Amino acid sequence: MDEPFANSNVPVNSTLKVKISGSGTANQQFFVAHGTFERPDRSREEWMDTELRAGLSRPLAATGPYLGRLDLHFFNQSTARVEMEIVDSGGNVVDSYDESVSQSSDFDRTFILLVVRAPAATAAKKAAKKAAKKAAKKGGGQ
Amino acid sequence: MKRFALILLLALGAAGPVAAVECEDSETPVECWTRAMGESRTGAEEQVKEEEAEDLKEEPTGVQTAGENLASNTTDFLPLLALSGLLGDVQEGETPGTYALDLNFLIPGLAKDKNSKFQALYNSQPMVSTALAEQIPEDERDELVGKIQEGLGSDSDYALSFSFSWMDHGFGRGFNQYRRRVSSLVSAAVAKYFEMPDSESDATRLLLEVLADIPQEGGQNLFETSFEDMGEQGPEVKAAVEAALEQEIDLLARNRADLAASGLQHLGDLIDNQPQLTFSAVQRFRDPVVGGDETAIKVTYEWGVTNFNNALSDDCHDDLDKAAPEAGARQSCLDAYTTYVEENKDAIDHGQKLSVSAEYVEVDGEQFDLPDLGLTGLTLKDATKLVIQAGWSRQFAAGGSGVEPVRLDFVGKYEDVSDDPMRRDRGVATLTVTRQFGGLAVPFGIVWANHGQYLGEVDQQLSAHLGIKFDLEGNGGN
Repeated sequence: MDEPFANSNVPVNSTLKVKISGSGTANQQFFVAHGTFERPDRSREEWMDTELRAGLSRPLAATGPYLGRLDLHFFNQSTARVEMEIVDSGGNVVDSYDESVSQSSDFDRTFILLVVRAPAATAAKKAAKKAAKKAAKKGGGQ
Repeated sequence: MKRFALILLLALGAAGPVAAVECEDSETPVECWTRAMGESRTGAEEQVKEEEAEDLKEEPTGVQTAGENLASNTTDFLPLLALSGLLGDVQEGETPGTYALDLNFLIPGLAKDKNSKFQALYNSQPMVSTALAEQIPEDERDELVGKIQEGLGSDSDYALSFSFSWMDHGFGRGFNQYRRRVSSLVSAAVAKYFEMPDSESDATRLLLEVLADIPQEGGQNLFETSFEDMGEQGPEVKAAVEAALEQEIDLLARNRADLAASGLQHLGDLIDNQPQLTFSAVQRFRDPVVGGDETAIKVTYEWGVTNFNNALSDDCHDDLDKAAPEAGARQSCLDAYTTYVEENKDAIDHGQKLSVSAEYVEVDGEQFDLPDLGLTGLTLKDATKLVIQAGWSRQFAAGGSGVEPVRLDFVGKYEDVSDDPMRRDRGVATLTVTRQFGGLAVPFGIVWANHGQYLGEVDQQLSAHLGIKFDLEGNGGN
């Protein structure tokens, strides 16, 4: 899909849910899904067709950038649907994505671009602490 | 630091030789991303469409009559079964004037796997049987046959038919039973390109890091904020989005080339050539003047010469079907698959297919009178019929054009009707040539039979048939 699933303000400890489905019966869905997902610590995991079709959930437990590339490989005319959701720790839906694509060959890539952040209050506290540390260091150095 | 890395990345031309992407200040990152990806895929899609159109030109689908006029060698089960709806679909049957009503909806779950078909077949042009006509005195035959014909109605000739296509690990043309193996092959093919780019120099990751460094207020999503509304950070984010897009568009092009080199684009053709075993049973109900009721069973086996079964060894089929095949096994199986596709590219393009079938038919005897017409003691003897059929088809180049817009179907059958006193055994050969002109297919068929179907007819029959088949969807939908 041309449009990415992009959010720069995802609360930490949210959950990313991804599900791939197709129209018609399983035998009419001439496509397979495949994806990779990279976390802030640069660890990467591969998503296979079976788990994407079953629907997968990944906790976004660390702050920082999460980058996903989700491919749909088509082998005959079919329609595929990509549904994604970010749910925060309280169970509220922060963001969602629901797009369909019809192709007979080639592949289609959907990007997942997420920036996970600490809650604003925590972030402000952290920033203040950092600034204070910096100032103390500066003062100590003088 | 991020800014420095971004500038360095752009300066080094890490994005490769791609046309520069430019976002508008008034756009949001998502809008720019969606537009640039859309523009980049247009070119790729045009190329794919051209290839598909070329491919369709190469592959006229033949004419699905399976009768004696324009015969095709391939039963395309999926579209027929896909048509079942709440009320069933009516489509033209196998012989002129017959219609098939899809009844899959009557049996819950039957259409689920798309390998069963329950149909009602209705003949809108029932004819008085030749066997009956023969029993009418010759001097009044035409007149009485005409009167009997007038009395025939909508319930004079209809049938119920049930077909089942066997599907398992190596049989059938549905996709689901091959999905895990295909997924493993795709995983092996993309393993190489998903190692790229190195995350240290990944411009898309860098974009996310730039955004992570910008403090957020409330629930604001910078991806949905225009660059001009981002204040002083706008130009930096815009540059990061442009660099990420250039990298990803370049990566997509390289991934596409890698996949093409692996031969995976032929998977659909290879699955379409998989062996297909079909069983069918037909119970036909007829007015006695049309003929006796018939019970028929038929077994058909079809296969393409190059198919998915042959593309991989048995070990590979087993390994790739596991929930988590080893990376080494996936890669070696993909290598074997690619070699098979390269070695058999011409054969895949030719789409050579074969079929054999056997049909056994029992026709009930009938004894009846037509007192209104002064006809009594009319008798139709019971009979059995065995029909053996073999077919072959492939694509051919037309006039040395390089493409293959001609499809040739050859079907030969032998009808053994030894115990039917009104008929005689005969052989029938049908040769059909289908020429594709864009969305139009023109089949031309020649039929030869060593006898007529009934006694007393000519010794040999030769007939020619010409048809036109339109693609109403305008895209090779056939």
